[in-house]
Amino acid sequence: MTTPTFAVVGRPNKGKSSIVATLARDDSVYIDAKAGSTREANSYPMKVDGETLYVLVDTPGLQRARAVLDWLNAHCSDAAARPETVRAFVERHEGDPNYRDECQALRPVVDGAGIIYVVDGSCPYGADYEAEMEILRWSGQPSLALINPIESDEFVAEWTAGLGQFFRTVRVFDAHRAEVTKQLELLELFGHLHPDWREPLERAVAILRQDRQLQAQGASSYITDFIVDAIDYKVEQAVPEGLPLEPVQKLLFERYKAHLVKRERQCRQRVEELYYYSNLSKSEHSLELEESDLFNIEKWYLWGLSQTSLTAAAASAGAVVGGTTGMALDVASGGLLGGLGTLVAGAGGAVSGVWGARKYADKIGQMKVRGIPTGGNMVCYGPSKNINFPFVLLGRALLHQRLVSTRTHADRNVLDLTQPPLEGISDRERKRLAKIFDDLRNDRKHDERRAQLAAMILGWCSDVPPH
Amino acid sequence: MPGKTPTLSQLYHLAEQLELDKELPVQTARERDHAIAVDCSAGDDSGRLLFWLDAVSAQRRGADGSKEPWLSEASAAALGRLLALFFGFSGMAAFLLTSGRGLVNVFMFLLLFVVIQFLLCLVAAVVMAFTLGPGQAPVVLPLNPARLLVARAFPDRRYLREAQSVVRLVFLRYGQELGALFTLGAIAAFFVVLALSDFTFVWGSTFQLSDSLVEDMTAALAAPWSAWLPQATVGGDLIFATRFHPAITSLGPDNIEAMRGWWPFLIMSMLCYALFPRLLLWLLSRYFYGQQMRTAITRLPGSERVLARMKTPLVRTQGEGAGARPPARDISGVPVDQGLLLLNWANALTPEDVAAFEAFAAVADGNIVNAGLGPVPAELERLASRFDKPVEQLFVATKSWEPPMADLADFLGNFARVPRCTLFLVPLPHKPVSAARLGDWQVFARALPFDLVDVQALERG
Repeated sequence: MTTPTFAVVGRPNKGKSSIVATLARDDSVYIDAKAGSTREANSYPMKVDGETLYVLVDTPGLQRARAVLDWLNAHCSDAAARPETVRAFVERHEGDPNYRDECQALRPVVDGAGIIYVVDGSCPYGADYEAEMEILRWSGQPSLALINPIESDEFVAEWTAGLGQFFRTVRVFDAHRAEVTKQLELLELFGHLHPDWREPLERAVAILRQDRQLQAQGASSYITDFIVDAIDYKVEQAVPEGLPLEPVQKLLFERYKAHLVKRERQCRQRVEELYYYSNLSKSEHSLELEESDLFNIEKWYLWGLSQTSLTAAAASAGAVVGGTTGMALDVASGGLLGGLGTLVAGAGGAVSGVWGARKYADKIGQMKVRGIPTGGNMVCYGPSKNINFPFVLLGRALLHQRLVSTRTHADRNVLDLTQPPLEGISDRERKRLAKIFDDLRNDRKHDERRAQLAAMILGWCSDVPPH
Repeated sequence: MPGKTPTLSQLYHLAEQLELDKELPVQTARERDHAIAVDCSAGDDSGRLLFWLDAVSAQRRGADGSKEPWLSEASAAALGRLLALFFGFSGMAAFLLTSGRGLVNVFMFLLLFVVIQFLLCLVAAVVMAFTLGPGQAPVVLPLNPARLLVARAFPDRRYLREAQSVVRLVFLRYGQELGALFTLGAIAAFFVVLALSDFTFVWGSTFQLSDSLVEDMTAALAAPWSAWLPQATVGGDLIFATRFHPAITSLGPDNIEAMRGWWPFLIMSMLCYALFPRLLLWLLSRYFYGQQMRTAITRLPGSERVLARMKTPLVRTQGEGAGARPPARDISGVPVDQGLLLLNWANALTPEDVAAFEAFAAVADGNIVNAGLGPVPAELERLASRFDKPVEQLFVATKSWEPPMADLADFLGNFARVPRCTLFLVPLPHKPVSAARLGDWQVFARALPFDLVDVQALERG
């Protein structure tokens, strides 16, 4: 059995390359607003451990369909000979510069590829399209039509009716906004074009579905690594006796910032690579964000929790810690305290949590200076005790992951990293996060908390349920 | 590799490699790890990770050529074992031989060689329970001699949180091993001194203990073996006969022989309460060490990513040919115009930019000059020779994101004899020239002293 191959054909500038870029998850596909940006047919095979399950072929737009159809009509005597006539046309005109694009587009079709005919749903249907649809029908290959609403879906209904006369299957597929599930459904549909193609396409979809879950797992793993590292991170420097401390303190703060900025950038880069983005450009906002916003506490409301949510989360985390201690006291006293230990320690923990949240609210980390027995001082900055800081890091990382994972590879716009990211997280989850961050900060049940944080992040990163 | 217990050194190397891997592009890591997985036959995750570590760090280890320290963990452990035997032997020998009048106090013997040892075993058991239970390893006493051996086991000075419980089990393992060897040395000394020297066992205490209480105590101690080894118990007669008082005079050969009747009991006490718990804890710590090490290895941050890459198929959907990339601009057909001079103002253009923008295709290679960065007279002098030849049109490339400056206007004023000038605004990557900025430059251009002047915003592909 030959490998299922699908030629994406249509007029110039109708989004063929965008559809291929989205389905092939390849952001290096050249997409241009100018017509005729694709000059060569390009193949995008899906390979699993070296085995090719299907191939997508991006083709140049058909430019002289009427002339081609004229030639075909002139050289065909009966309907049974139509596929051979199309082949004859391609073979006869392969070196002809006038029909270069047509030959490039039709070559995979005459070699056995299925046809994915693409039109723009934001432009009206016209009879002038019928010549190219007729040529494709002549080829005798299994086919389906995709309506790509590039700017709007104003003419989708018109197109659906028109295309229905030439193609048995017509679907609307927005290459720039299609969710992963829609992309997988479309691939599955490709498999229905021919009985022999069903099995490899179903396999491919199952593998892509699994790959999507792995992307979410990988992203959650990188984000967890980054947040745990940021919570633990500190820099220190020994200063000999008599030397001023101020320049060293400034230097340490700069080193602290540089490390976190680098780790955040590294985390983002890995997440983008997980989702197969190699050319993703970020907006000016993101550059500002990386360099300064992370350390601009006044802008943290964009990423972290509001003052009210923060106070509630800190009080809850403190109460849980205090309450647990109090409960141990109650158990140890054999119930003689009548639950008073739990009550008092819980309330004390809540108050101390709120106090901690307020005390460290206006700074990220603390500068500490301690004497060294052999002389001089050890200056240390970090780890951060600011309760909102891990929320800010998480908010920024989740927003980035969400934008990357929901974007298609045809989208060439810059990332807009300015939406509030933690809005979708419930109060219960915020409180749980506050507890996890508090335990990580104080090195309590570190491995367990890390695993819990990774599981929560995975929940927010996942978008494709297991099949 | 599969089935073999990983070492602390491997754990550290793995952590280091995983940290290095954070710098590695995902696709490169996918391909590398998938290729490694093809040859891996390990059945469990820790085995897979160790196989991966071997494959990945083989070259790096070769390049390092790190030398073994002069006192390695193994040699330090051998030395520690010898010293434990020596101290056990000499401790017991000294205790026996320095007893006054050859009378050995059974209580003191039991305290030093049984009770303290047993209590230390209990502490070790509690530490082990804490290490394996809540996962929080308790601190280790600074006086613990096992510290010296464990310190040799670390490949470097990094603190690895994931290694905490493993390190605690190494402490326990060495601690029990040294304790057991100490007891063995003491038992050996006991036999040697017993064979070579005359001494007798007596009991006595400042707390007026009755014979029956001592009998009960010894019976309780001997409970584990009294049923199958009655010779190693002490009866009421012996207890009565060996009660110590300062005026004791009955130290004839018969009495001495009777008083020696304690030794099977003492030996069994040492074996049962000092040696056996040590050996049991030693075996347990060895077993749990392997278990915890495998857990630690799979729990290292990043190891889950390696395992996922090894276990899943390598999927690729992207294009492979050069055709997937934007077509390069073909400017070979554009004729070179020797009358064009391109002035690259303040390095607005990189060398790649010059080739990338079609607008500059007609400019000859030798007709591109840089200006706007050095001293003005020097630049004017350098450019004078260029203007000896007739220049029909001057192209000026400037940074679109900067405002027009009088410096440029002054500079261009020196070339007013050129009939035509075009200002090209070079955009930032991914940011087209704004209309407002274009307007600023158009206003600026109107004031330039050329017959014909226009402004064009360049666009990146």
